[in-house]
Amino acid sequence: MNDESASSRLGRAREFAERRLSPDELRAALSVPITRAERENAEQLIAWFIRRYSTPIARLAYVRQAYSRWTATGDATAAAPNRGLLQR
Amino acid sequence: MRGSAFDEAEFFRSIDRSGARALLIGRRALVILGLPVLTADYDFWIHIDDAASFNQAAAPFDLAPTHTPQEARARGRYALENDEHVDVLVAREVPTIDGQKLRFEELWDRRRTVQLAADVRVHVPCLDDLIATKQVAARPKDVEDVRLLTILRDGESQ
Repeated sequence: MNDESASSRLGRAREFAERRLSPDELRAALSVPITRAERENAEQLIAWFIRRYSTPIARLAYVRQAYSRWTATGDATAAAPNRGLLQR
Repeated sequence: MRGSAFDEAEFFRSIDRSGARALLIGRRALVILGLPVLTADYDFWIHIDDAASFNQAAAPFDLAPTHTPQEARARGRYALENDEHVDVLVAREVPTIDGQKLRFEELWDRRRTVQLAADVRVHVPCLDDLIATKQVAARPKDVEDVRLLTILRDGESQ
């Protein structure tokens, strides 16, 4: 993949993530129940994050570094290779 | 000061000491509360009378406002920029996408204060209000954040 196509893909992904939902779309999205698996996965990630970075300032610093790595590589898994955590 | 040299703790300390009524919203608030999400920017909702003091707090970090406080109040939002980007909402109230009004004064009264360091506090909305703020921009990533915040809230209430 060349840089241009990577950049283009990133742009499209960003555009999709940043678009504004309609009220109906939002209501529909928020009405989807949280599954047990989703809840357990999220709780594990939160527990890991708080355990690994036990203070708010440490968490902020980590995310700052992770974002820098992500923008440098274009790969969110580089931010948290063991958890695949920050892929949003 | 270039972004690479940006001292996050000092930035929050400066805001705290300014006396500006400033709520950290957006994903950095989620991070502080323990949710591991990526974000580039800082998002604040400040009291409509506090733009000048907020800007003064950001000035030592070479963060320049895109609009004067008067212009910002008329527009409802502005940004502070250098290598960093700080989005600032400066409005008495904002509507969610389904018409619910979120009022700064009410969110401020219900705020949660987090100690970043011994002498640094940051104020974030309570979880219910943070969830509501996610329904203002109402983007797909906000839906994901609402789900995470809901799980966090459910865990705290148990």
